Amino acid sequence: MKPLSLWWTLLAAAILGHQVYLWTGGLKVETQLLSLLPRGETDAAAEEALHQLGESTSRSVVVLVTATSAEASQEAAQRFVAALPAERLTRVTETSQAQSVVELLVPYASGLLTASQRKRLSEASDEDLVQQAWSALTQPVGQRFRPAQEDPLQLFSEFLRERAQSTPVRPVNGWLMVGDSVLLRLEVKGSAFALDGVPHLARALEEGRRAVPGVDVVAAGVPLFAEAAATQANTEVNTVGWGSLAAILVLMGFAFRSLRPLLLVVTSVLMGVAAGLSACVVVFGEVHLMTLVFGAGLVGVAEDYGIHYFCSRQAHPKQDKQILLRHLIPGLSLAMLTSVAGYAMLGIAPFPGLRQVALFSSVGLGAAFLTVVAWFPILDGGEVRMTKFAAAWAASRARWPSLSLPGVVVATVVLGAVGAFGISQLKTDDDIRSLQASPKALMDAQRLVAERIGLPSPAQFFVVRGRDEAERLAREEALTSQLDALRAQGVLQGYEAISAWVPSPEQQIQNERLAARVRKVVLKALADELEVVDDDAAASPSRVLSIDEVMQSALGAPLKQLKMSDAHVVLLHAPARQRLEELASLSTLPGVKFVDRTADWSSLMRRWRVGMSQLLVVGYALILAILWWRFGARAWRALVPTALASALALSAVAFLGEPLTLFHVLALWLLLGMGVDYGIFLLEHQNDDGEAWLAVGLGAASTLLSFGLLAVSTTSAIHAFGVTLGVGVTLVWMLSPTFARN
Amino acid sequence: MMLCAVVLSLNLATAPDLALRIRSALHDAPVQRGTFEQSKQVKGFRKPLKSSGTYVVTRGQGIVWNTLKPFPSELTVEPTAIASKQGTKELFRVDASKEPAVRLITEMLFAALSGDVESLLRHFEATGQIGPEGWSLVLKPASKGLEKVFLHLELQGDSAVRKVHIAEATGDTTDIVLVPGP
Repeated sequence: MKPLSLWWTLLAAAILGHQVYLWTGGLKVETQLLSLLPRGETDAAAEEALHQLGESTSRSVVVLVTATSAEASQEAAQRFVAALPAERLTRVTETSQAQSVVELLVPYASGLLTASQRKRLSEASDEDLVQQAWSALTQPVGQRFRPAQEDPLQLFSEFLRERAQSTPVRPVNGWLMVGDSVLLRLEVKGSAFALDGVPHLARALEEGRRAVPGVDVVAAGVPLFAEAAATQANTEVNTVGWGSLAAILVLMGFAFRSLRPLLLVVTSVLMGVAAGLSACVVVFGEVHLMTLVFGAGLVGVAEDYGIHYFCSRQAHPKQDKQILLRHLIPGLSLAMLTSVAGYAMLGIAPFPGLRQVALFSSVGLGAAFLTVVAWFPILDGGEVRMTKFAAAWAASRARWPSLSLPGVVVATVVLGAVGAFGISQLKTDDDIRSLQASPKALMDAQRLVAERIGLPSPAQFFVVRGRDEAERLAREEALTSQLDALRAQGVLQGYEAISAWVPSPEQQIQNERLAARVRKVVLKALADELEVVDDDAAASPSRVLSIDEVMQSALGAPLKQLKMSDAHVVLLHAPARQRLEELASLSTLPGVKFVDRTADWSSLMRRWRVGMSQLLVVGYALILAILWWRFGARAWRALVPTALASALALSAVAFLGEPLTLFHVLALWLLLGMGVDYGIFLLEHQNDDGEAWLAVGLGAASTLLSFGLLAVSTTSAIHAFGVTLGVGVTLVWMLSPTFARN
Repeated sequence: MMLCAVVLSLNLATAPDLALRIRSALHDAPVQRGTFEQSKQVKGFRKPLKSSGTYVVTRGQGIVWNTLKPFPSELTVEPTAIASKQGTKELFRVDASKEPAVRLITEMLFAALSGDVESLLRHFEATGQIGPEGWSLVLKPASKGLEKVFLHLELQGDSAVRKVHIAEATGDTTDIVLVPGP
């Protein structure tokens, strides 16, 4: 055995061992679309905030149960929960923390005022204050958390009431109520995303729904989206993967009419997929579902080398296998390197998802190539018979229209002009939201629940920085006073900020002074009619409430997501999309930064779309240089068909009315890497009897099938690859022989 | 088992019976108006806070509690909201559909002032008596939630509710005397 074969066999054994481990439970599959997106380029606190938001929601499903009345809703919720399969979803029991929050805050209460209270108190005349106090004290029933002589205006009750209004959710008898609806929080049990393609969570919720016919049940939450994506991807992986494998088998069955070539080519493909998967897991620690969908498309590319080998064998049955291979290797390795280069270009954009695809595919192609070179001469024992199908196909090479030089020039100009016109008609779209492929019903449910229970926007928020907590809080207050004004104009529905519960120390002292003045005025006025018991209690000053104290209390849990290690986050409720600029303009406040992930991602997509398009010219120049080194002045014949096919593929995209995205541009890189292969094969074996043509045909047909199948994907990025490559590969296949004169 | 059921049914029978008899004693007018005198003893103050004014109770609609002395203010209790006004300035407004706790309390207050004994009995345990001169009722909260607000309520009346005594969990007590009139 030659050293290469030996080494590859050892490596293959290691890969297979790894695969056994992976498929017996070691494989971690990431399903969240968001994780395909790049990490922020600058802001660490924004990343931390996003991460926390993601963590807190990754396993929780919320359900709104609405019947004809609050009592009916509670009764329905009870039956709904009882009907849920406990091994999938369990209810998070709600314990009201209200009492302990009040106990925590009471000692600091005189420093706690809302902005509207401050405004009202500082504007009120003494007489107003006395009247307000009288009215507060003589209300027939009221909840009071502080003695009347300390807080005659009941400012603390009012503070709590106003704070509670930041959420419409109210704990009642162990239920969370939103109006007459019950809000159930459910936790996903066990591994939710088994790769069996079965929507377990959706079915579990369906079981619950069946127990409460006629009751409105709306479910939302990240796990439901993840599951929808996982089941969808599962279908797509199977369609694309098995579909293209089946196509290869059929084509090869016709071409070789023998089991051995078939098995060996499938072996090379499976080795490629296995090596790609292993590399991904080793480097990234996991593999993303989208990588698997995309990787399934690799099946249609990785078989090229094996097919090429067998086509040559078939044409030269008498020739020694090693000599034959030596003859094939320059073309094969050149083709492999250009394809790997094309895939590798996907990885230079800072999108983790694309990097996985780049690694998966590059390694996969390399492994398939090595399998052919290292194993095929050893394993391929017998003869490869000529078949009618293969002979007819190879013979068609001679009849295929082949253009003279002037013809080529005319064809290039005409097709180029058509392509240029098509490209000029393209619209572009860099909106990250267009990547979302979730079922509409799920999106609607999510929106409804978010509106009803007031979920913060996961994409837009403020980060507030400062030297220390005191400065951060003070800066946050400067921000929230502006947000109050914008809320009044309808720019946003509300916000969540730590300073709402913990005013800055400076503010607390001011509040306390204001409250003390108010108390003095009121008690003095009432003293004429009342003898106040225990006046000293009223005078005792309270301490300053600190964030640390709050974080260790029951209030800590809801506020946790607002406090980063060295920054505060202010979350926004339903910011109006058309008025984000007004929010962004608040970034001029000291220490305040508006984060708009949607806009960031979209601008990132646009930058990379433009950048990768421009770089494509450099890519073509580089490939031309490599081809020149191998083929000299004929090099252009291998490249021009790919260039024309690319332009026409974009025209097709324009014709279909789809906007140009980064993913179309990246598909053009793949087309460059793969399309050039056909030119290379045909130029390398210019004087053969058409076996290279047969190999190109088989390869192109299977590539076409597998990438064409990607076009059915509901994930628009994968669909973009599918359309571009489907059209592009067909055209390269048709054009290459026309340009590479026999 | 049988005995248990009998005792249970006996207990159940008394309360609705009382409610029924009080209901039949009450003069059934869709709108009741009059003047009130309220004396509220607030914990921490030695003397009670006294106020007076007019009231309108509309069956199924709500109460308008119009304080005239010592400071004019208006409290409106409706099934959907509770609001307090001073002149034209709204001091506060709470949406009952969003605040179930507030809704329950206002419903009970409304029931007490309008003599809606059936509603009260859904949330309170009642003992009471009824005679030719009139009736009286002592109500204790039946749920934990209401216990946090009310210690007990006392109602007295004849063809209308005449006196309401509210003992709150805060330690405050309120006495309201209602004088039906034009």
